[in-house]
Amino acid sequence: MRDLIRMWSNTRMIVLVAISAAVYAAILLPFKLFPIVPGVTELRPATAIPPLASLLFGPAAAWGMGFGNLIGDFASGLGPVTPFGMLGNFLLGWMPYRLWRAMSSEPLPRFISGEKASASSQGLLVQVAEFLFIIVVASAACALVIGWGGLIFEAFPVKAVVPIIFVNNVLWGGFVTPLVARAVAPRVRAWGLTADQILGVSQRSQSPTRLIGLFLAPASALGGVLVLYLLAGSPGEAAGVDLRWLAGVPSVLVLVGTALL
Amino acid sequence: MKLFLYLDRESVVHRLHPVTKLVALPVLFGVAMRLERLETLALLALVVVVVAALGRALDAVAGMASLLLTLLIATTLMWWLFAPQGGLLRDGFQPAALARSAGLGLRLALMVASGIVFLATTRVEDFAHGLRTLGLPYRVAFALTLAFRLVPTFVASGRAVAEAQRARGLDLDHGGLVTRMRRYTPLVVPMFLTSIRRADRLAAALETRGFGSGEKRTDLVEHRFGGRDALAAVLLVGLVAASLWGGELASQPAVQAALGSARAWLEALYAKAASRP
Repeated sequence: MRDLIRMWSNTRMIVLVAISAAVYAAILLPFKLFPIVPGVTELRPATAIPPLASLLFGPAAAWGMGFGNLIGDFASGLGPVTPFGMLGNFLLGWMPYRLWRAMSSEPLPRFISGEKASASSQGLLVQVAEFLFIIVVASAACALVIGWGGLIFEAFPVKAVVPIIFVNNVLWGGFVTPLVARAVAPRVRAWGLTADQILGVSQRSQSPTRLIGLFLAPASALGGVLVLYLLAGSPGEAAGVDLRWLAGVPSVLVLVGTALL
Repeated sequence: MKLFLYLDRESVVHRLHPVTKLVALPVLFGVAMRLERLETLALLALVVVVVAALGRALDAVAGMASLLLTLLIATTLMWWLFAPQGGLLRDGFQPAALARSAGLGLRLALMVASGIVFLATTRVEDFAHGLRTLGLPYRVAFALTLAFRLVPTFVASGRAVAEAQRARGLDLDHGGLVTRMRRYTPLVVPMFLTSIRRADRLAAALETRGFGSGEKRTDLVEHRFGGRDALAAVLLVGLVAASLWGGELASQPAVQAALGSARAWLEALYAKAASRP
């Protein structure tokens, strides 16, 4: 959590915020012309960027993805869900970094960095499973927060739109991110531009609250998005359960859980 | 290529203090959220059109008409089909549900239209200045402004990469979903790397110019709150009051009587005009 604030005193991290935001927006913008749900989401090859930037640039990627999404909305029109889009993309750029550092002792998965296994490192299959788990959790958190905004402003039926956002994020993050990362990560490390190289943070999170965060962040992201999907439009909502505020609880828990990692 | 919606023109809305516009936008969103009936939303649409006209931004809104119309139709359809109560798929055709869905579609389109007017009349630098005035730290505002400035450069380099890869035979239009997704890799990798390579030089350039020296910064352009900002604030308060108490006010006997008199006067006027040969 402190990294998110501390990075603002480092000029290279500030520049990385701007560059990652601009790259994200530059890939996002051409696809604004092909919306899946107008004003809400579109086919997004750019969604391959947040997990990649997150693993490399850490907190700078989190801010960058939030700003990048805002820039995308600047080109297609600001709406009431814009702040939630920013927060959802912020999480998509923050959670992979935090979760990976909490789960692994290596700075990057070996199938991305291309480095050889050390005696203490996990097996390759375990790393692939962990990476996919991280993508699924971050995608769920992003869909949850945007779905929450949609509920509050009645911008779209959550049951129809949240799965689209979730699947879009998982597909690009799960299939394309590793391919791009494998080509990009060794060069970025060679240039000394990764977050752990710039900020000098230890590779594995040593926080005593790490285990609580490791449970809380995924549970509230996956549980929250599932509950949101099941309850939206259910008799519970019809009976007066105000989902608009109920959906805010797991979103806040995701933030708290990620901060504890 | 024009990427953003800002129109470099002289207008009363352009000259408003950025903070006034930054506050007005969420207030307009809030007012729209209060309204449910199509008639009242149509009145709010009129307000947005007047602001767009004052900001000489009607063409910006008209330029996004296809997006707004798609938004209106798609939102109406989605709510009409999938609404938890009264949705077509669940409860069959219900006129009230269709009217509510249309209201929700119009509300969202209105909010996005207000956003377009804001973007057409506010420079990125003014937007960042407004955020700073509201308490955003300078470094954060700077990163946001820098990102905006870099986007056109990166879009241009992305386009060059795409053309180069297409010339080498990259085909993004055929194949299954996973194959097509995988083919985006040769586009994203060079674009990402050429962008990141600038980071070190950019950071060095900033530091040699005193970025982060800790001195209190001054601005090239000073924005001051003026009479037009005060007037805008009064109008906003009026709009909020109308959305909060407008319905209640309209049902008061005195207001009902006044409305009745006005209606009678209009009817008399119409009858007089109709009786003329």
